[in-house]
Parts: sequence; C-alpha cells; structure tokens
Amino acid sequence: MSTPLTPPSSRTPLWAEITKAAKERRFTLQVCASCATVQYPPREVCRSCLSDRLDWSQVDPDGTVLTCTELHVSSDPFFQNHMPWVMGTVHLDCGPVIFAHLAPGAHKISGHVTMINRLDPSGQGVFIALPKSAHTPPQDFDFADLLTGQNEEGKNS
Amino acid sequence: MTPKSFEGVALVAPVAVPYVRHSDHGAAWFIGRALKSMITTTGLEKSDVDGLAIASFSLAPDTAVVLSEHFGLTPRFLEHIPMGGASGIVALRRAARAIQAGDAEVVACIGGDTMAKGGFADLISNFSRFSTDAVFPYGAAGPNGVFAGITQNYMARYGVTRADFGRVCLSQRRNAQSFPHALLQKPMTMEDYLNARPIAGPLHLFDCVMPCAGADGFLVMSTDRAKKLGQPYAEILSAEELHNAYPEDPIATRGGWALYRDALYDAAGAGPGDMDFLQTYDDYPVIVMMQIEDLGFCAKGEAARFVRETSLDVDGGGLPHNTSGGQLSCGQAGAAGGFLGLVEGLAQVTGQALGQAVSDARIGLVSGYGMVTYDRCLSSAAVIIARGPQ
Ligand SMILES: [Zn+2]
Repeated sequence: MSTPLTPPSSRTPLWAEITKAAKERRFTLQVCASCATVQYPPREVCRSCLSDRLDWSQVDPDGTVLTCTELHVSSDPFFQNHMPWVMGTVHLDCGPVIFAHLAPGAHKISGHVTMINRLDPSGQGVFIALPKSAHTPPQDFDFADLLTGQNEEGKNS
Repeated sequence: MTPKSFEGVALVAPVAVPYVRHSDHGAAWFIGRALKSMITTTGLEKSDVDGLAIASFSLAPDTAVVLSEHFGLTPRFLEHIPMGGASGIVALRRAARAIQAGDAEVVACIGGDTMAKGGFADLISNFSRFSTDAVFPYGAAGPNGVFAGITQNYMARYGVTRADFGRVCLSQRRNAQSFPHALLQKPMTMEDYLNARPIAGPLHLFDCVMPCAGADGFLVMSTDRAKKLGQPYAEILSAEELHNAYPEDPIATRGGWALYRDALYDAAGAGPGDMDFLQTYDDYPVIVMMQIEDLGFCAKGEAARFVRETSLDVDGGGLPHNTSGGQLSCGQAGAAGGFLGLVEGLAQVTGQALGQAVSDARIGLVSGYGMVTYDRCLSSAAVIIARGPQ
C-alpha cells in the first residue's frame, strides 16, 4: 500500500492562519490595521504603508475571473493524475489578485465568482473560485467536488 | 537627476560554455569553465580578475562568495545577482560602475547553472515564498501556469493569435541553425508549432523554453585595459533597470522598459530605428512581444502586426532578433538565460559571433526580464551597446 498522493503541502509559516480558517470554512486575508489595505499573498508588513499590524479578517470573497488556464503538464504527481486541471487568477473586489482552483462554471473570463477556502488533501487551506450563480450553496462545496468536476470537464473536452 | 554615462568602460570576451540538457556537474563547473575561457581568450592571469558578478540558482545553498575560495581568487569586488532573466544586464551595470569608481579593474560577469535530472521541479517548488504559498499549490505548473494567463489575456486584449507567436518562434529556430550551441536546431514549420502538444492554456510545447545546464559571461574593464590587451570591445551607450514596475496592473501587459525607454534612447543618442539588432528575453513569446512594444519598436498592442511585417531573421532585412536562436532554441540554462542575449549581442558588435553574423553590426539593444515570484516577473533591464573604436 502506498500513501495516497496529495497536492504539495509545503507552505511558509504565514499560511497557518489560512489553513486554520479553512477548517472552519472561512475566507480570511490579512487586512492592515492602519490603512485597511487587503494583502495577498500573506506577508510581514503592509504593501501600502509598511505597518506590521496585519489582522486576519473575513473579507468580501467576491471577484471576477482574470485568467482561466487548463493545465496539461504539472511537476506534481497528484495533479498529473487529474489532468487537465483548471486554475486561474481572480481579481477580488477588495483589491488583491489571487491564484485559485476554478470550479466548473467558473471558467469564464470576466465571470463573477465567490472565493472559498477549503482544506485540500494535503491538509492545507486552498482557495477555490465558485460561480456566483451556483445552485449549490458555496458552504457545501468541498475540494473533492472539484475532482469530480475536473474529471467530467476533461472527458467532455 | 541624470545618471552618469558609462564612458570609459569596455565589455570584453563574450564567452559561452556549451549548453547540455542535464549534467552531474555542480554550477561551479559551468561558471569556472566560463572564467577559464575568458582568461584564455584575453591572455589575462587569473589573479588579474579582481571582481566577480555572478548569477546562479543552483549554487544554493552557496552564493557567489564561495566561488572565490573554489576558484582561488581574492576579489575586492563581489556581487551575487539573484535576478534571473535580468541578471546579465544588472551584472553589467554593477561591474561598470565598479570600474568607473576604481573599486575593481577586471570584473568577470557570469551567469551559470547546472541541471540535474528532476532539478527543474525542485527549483519551481521552492522558487519564492509567495509562490510556495500562493501559486505552486494550484497545479504545480511553475512559470508555465503564470505565463499561460498573461498570454491568454494579451491575446484577447490585442487580438493576437498563436500563429503570431509562431512567427517569433520559427524565426528564432531559423537563427539557431547556424549557432553551434543551440540544443534545438531541427527546422520547425508553422504546422509543427501549431500542432505541438498543449502545456498550459494557450502555451504549447514550442512556446516554452527547455531547462538545461550551461554558462555565459563577459569581462568588464576600462577601455584602456581592453586596448592594452588588444581585445575587441563593446561600449555601453546606456543601461537601465527597474524592479516591480506597474504594481497596480492586475495582470502584466507591460514591463518596466516602457518607463525608462525614453531615458535609455536619449542617453544613447539613438532610437529604435538605429538598432542593428534586438536581443530580447524570450522565456515566452508573449514577453518578446511586450519588449518589442515597450522598447518602442512599435506601439502598444502592435507587436503581432510588427512581426507579420518585419523579418526577425539574422539575414531577413528586417530587425535581426535573438540572433543565436534565443532561449527558445538554445535552452534555458537557469540564470545564464539572463546572459545569453547580452553575450550574443556583445559577440555581434565585436565581430565574434559564433553563428551567423549580423551584417556590419555596430549598435544593438539587449533587454532582460526576470524573477516570477508571484504573478509576473519583477525585474526588467535594458542596455544599448556599441562597437568600440578599433
Ligand atoms: Zn497599511
């Protein structure tokens, strides 16, 4: 028996808060206590005013899809087993640009999406963009649903 | 304030250590071979080299400091330039100022990297903190995943097709045919290009560079020293760098070149139309097009039209571009990729081209672009070089 493959699990210590929030299905980012700038990726000081008072807060998870990329090649065996894989970038209404897994229905450039934070099989929090008009309430969506969706889309294409 | 000119500085002995797909050697082997080659070419003693400016990813956990011990050198000027595709021009700028200030007399600028089997996966899995947290977990595609998005956005915004990118790639492959070190020399048709296997989004196999091992470098010294050595040399008419340009752009459609190109041309007393060649940083063809635009060879969004109307071949009568075949044909030897175009440009203006020579090349532009730590490369650089008086 070999250990089941998982996506890459390596993160810096700053990511711990996002993984903690993923366990509670919350979408949180750092927000500057001095100037309210929302930060991403996680960092040590504010990109706008250099304050180190960055609070983890629930922020507006809505945004639009900037890029949508079907990956055919990966250096990671987990993803190699689930090709093609769809990821992309989302421009959040609150400012940052975020790389995310794009759920089925969220593959349209400029489409409106909602970001959720979930544990992936490696046990780390990751961001998933869901279509704004989804029938499934965002709270019910898990990383595993992404696997099913990705496979179906792969077969259809 | 206008920066001081680079008067009195000579660029000498452009050298290339032939690229190989994989190697069991350490990075110091490739860098050391480049240094040895420069010394042999110029007749200098090893101890004459009192400055080093080195770019390498695979030296880690060491830095350039360890090379002084490894090579038995005692330099009084030592730079480690961790700027990937911008590292050659940045090394040139640092070294030139050291020569002008009298901090060193002969500086060896070298970009070199090895590539073990599986080495590329290791490099991209731990390339930056932002990438480890916020890019790599989303498919582990490395720079291909990032530049697929940039390419897709550029194509949609400016009406660019894959065939337009193909013109750049085909031209570079033709240019590579006379360049002895190019790993990819097999002639490529547009059909080959368009039918290549998909990698990520609009990127297919021939849009991506092949990771490999190798080194490229040159010496920086005073023009007096170069004349005493009897070496042909190039001079720096102007050189610029900028890091994290346009941070508010949600997706990269331009680079720092656009912010300093006027200063670059003003200081050189020349314009894009005066260039005998252009060597761009070609990690992906979309980045080539951005440089053609941002360096003023055409208006923004017009590069596809430019490459439809202008031959980029060495002997095409247009604008000779990436005349050694670039990284898309030679391979990307890590940080040496940030030196490849510069070393080829220096070889062209000093009459030492290994491949086909650009006819009467007197002046040329070389640009660089490096370090994708999140969603774009941060460092851009450009230099205008000219043949030194004989
Ligand atoms: Zn702030």
